[in-house]
Amino acid sequence: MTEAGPVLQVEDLSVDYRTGAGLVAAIRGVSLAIASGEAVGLVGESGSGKTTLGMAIMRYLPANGQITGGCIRYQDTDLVPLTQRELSRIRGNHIAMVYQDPSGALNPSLRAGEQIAEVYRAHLGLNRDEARGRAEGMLELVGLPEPHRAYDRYPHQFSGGQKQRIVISMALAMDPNLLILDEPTTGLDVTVESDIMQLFADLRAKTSAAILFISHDIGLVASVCERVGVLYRGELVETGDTEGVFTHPTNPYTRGLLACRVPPGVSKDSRRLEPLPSGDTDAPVGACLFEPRCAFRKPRCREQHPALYPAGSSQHSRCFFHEEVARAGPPTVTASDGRAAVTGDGAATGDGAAAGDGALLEVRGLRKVFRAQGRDLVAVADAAFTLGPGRILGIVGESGSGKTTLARMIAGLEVPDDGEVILSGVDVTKPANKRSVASRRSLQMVFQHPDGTLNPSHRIRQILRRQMRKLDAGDVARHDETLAELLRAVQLAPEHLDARPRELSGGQQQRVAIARAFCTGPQLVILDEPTSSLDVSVQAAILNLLIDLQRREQASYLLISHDLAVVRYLADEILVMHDGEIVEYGPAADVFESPQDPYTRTLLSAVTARVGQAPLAAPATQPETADEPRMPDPA
Amino acid sequence: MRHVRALRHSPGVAMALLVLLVWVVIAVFWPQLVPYGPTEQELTSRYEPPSAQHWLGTDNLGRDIFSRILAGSRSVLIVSVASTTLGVAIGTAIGLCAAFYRGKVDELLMRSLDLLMAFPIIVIASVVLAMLGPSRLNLVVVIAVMLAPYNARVVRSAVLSWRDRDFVAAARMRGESGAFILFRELLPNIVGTLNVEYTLRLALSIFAVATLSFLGFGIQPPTPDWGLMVSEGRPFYQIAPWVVVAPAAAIASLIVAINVVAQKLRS
Repeated sequence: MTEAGPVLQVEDLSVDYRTGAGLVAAIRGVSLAIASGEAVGLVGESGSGKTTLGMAIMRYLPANGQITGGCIRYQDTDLVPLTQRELSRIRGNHIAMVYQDPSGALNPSLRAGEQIAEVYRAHLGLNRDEARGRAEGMLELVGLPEPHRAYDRYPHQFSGGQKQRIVISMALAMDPNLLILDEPTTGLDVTVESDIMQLFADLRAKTSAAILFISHDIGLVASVCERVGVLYRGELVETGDTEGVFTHPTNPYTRGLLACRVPPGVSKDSRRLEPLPSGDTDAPVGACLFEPRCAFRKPRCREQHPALYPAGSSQHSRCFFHEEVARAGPPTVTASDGRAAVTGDGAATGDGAAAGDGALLEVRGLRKVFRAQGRDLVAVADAAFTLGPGRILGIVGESGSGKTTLARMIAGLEVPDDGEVILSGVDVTKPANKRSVASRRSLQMVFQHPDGTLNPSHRIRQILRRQMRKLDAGDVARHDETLAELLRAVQLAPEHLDARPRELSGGQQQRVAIARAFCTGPQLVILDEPTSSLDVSVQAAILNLLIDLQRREQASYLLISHDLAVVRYLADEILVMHDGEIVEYGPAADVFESPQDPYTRTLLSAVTARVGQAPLAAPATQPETADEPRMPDPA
Repeated sequence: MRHVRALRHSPGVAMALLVLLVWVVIAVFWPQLVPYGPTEQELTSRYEPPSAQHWLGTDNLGRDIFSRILAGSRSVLIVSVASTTLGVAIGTAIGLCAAFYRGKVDELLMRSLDLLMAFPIIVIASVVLAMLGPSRLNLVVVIAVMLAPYNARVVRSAVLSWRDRDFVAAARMRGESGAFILFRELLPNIVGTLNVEYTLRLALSIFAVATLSFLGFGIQPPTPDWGLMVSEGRPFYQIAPWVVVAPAAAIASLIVAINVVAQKLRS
């Protein structure tokens, strides 16, 4: 490794995908450089091309993807013209990648340790015992307890977080000079995520690998990387020092991304979210790609495509009006003004929780046991709570905590083994189809996955009309009117009625699902991770919509989420679940401000660590590099 | 229009579709197309090789083989299409129910199908037909019952990938009946699978019809039928190979064409 040049230099890289609709540009002229020991982040929403970029660097593009221009220089070798054979040597020894899904990266039929030892045997020609020794050393390095025993276990015997540690140890096995991390903690629980992020921080002190950290999560990127690039539709729109980019954005997109996040510790009563306008329309050819969604747009943006201009001390921004954006200042999202809001609404929450007499939903001693492989697994143990009309109850817990099972029992999708569910004074402890039409009408649900929530073979009109007809929602003659009004409320156009679900974006699909839940005038809506598969910019709009509908319809929500900021923002009361038990239940402000249960405290501290946003300890030597993106000619 | 253009790029499929079209036209219009009556015997000209008068020669009773092939297409197509339609319908219903209800229903249905599948199709079919007596209707029912288990298995696994989607949960919360969820929510999503299934089963069914006729359990003489023609010609194969080759080629052309189309549908 030489101090002279960057480890990785990507220059003017373009990647296209061949699809049924012709060539689609996934990466458009991206340039970036990473020096040894440096961590560079790449943020972007789904479809921004961030994963494609990682795959292109590894030369792992799918068969319909092709590099159409530019070069990828690793040290002094251009990777683009290399054969797969030459590449495989570089990949194993010099460049390693950690993917999002750890289960996919491990061979389920091989012992965990052998998969690491295999790397040593193949690349260094070590014998069995030597390789085992090295592999156990790696397992210890990534913090797996009892590496000697862990070596002999199979992947399915580890938890998701442990599996990701094993994948990381495989990636680090040959002490690579370049490590690409593609959403390494997405899909893991918050507490596990914070452990893995801590592991990265520790590892950075031990290796001098250059790191490319790809994520949709600004907070995570900020906690790891010194420099960051923001991708929008395959184009870098802003680059610079992490702190500069995230505290003084000079590009409207970066600014919008920062502004639309749910601020930690803030409640809906104190501030409304600022969503980015939807990205469902394309910019005209030759225009700025972000123009249709931009808050700063001017006529010039439609006529000319901006280059990356230097902006601020360390930043570059792809915007003609970056000075104006910089002057507008950072979006007002800080933890400090959130604190004020917390104390403000704490008092208001108290009386709502106490109003138990006119309870809309009452859950008593609800219990569900699943039998798996001859063992009883208590999914929910004696859950009890009440929810008043017009209130929002947040249910928080990690995967496997029983929060979804609890919601499904209330919804009538799962029959409890014991206990009662009482909705508006009526016992509804039975499957949904045995409940009265009135009960079904007043209890609705919005599901997690937008692509699974609507039947792909039905048109939107069919889906919504069936819901109204089946549940006798008002006068049949007025259904079309109700439909039109509903569509306006969820901000969809009338022509969407004739679309099929796959023609809609994830955000639009979720809007239809919300319309379906609300078309019968429900009193209680269960929201099961309603925004967790959506991009942040879409999330803000959906959350605003949910708040507006809740206020207008005076409905109650049962909100299930793993995202504590979202729960804090929406919920009046909070219920924390752990291993099937309710460990904490009370007004939102109280739970967040002074958690009583040790588990709640762990959960909250994992999140606080994340929003701290202080870059983690950088390695001792921070080489100076000429890594600024080259100035493309504005003409 | 797009489909027509797509065909130009796959001449094999275009060819297969043409073959199928020709057989369908023949099956409908054979009375107008045949040069001789298919059961017309001319004992003075037995075992004549293919010639200008008899394009495919004549058989042991001096009947024109070309005419008999054309006439035989109708019964093959009717019986195989009817039995496949019935079989796929039964199989789809079973597969849908097994996948949707899971648990004991699934176990009971699938194990009984396993039992049925443990016996070779032809053995069971010939035993049943021997008991019921050979008739077109019996043939259709027997073949349908033999095809259904294979179809049920495929449908079941296709439905399994859909039944846990949230739109099914939404339908249940709406209070929809099981039948509505099965036929209105789930069935439309497996239409692609069903198309492939149908064509594959159709090829199998044609084979079964021909085989059962060959064994004498199907269409009865003197009605012209391809399987029967192979069977009747078999003793004279040494002296008049065309008696066997022509109907065998007809069967093969139909099965190959259908398989080519099925292959295309699958991709």
